[in-house]
Amino acid sequence: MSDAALLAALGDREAIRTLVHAYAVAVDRKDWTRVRDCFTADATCDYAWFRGDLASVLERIAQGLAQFETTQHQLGTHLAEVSGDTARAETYAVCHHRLRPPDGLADRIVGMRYLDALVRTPAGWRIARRDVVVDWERLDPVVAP
Amino acid sequence: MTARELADRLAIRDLLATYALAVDRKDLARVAGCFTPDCAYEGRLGRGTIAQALAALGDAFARYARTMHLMGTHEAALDGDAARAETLCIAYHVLPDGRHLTTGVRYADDLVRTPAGWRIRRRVVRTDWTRTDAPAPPA
Repeated sequence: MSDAALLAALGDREAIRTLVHAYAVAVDRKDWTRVRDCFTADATCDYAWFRGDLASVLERIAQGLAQFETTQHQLGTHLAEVSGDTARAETYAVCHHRLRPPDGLADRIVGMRYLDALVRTPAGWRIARRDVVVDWERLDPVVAP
Repeated sequence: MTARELADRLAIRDLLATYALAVDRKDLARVAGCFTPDCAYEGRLGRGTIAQALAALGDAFARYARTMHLMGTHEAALDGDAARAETLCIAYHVLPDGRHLTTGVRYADDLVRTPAGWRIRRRVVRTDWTRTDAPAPPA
């Protein structure tokens, strides 16, 4: 592979990693415009708890996260494979959701994976299809420090 | 993406990792090297200059047997010789009595390219959650 081709390949990988991480930061900020910008306009999603077109899924995410005091979408393991103008990526997430039920604080912690099909658009890489696989969920009562 | 942008992105990610490694090794000089001397700081260590925050960090080192700053989600936006980054961290603190104080924190950093490399010139740390857990029973 030539240096130019290598640079292009590395740039694609970095752009895809940045996109997936931008989603996580934006969703914790409840910046729904920024979240929407991570997807193609005609993207479809299956978030395990709900599925459908982008607008309806984003509405469900906003509703679902509204009950929590804070959320943290912590991303880790990430693998992406680029094929021309499309790509597939799988990214692990451990999501902390801080709850304030009547009997004290609790953390709902969800271990999940984002399975993304991405496309290169004139504006950069975007998610065209996202499937969420929930591997585990836990509710941990919080002991105040 | 240009080679320069790619290198800048990696350098900024490395800087955040260096901060975490240095804090966990209680290497205050190496922590200080991640910031410009006039860096502004706001967070758990107070509000003011980085010098004040580093003094408070030195005191904090004594309160924990071990710490582990697990850096995860990281987004950076470059603008020439400046950049902004947001980085999520789960910080595990082992207390002298063995309990674990764990915090979910979020570093919002303004960065600048200096002759010596990228440095943080303004940091705001927000704590999203805090919890205390008992140590594991003996195996």
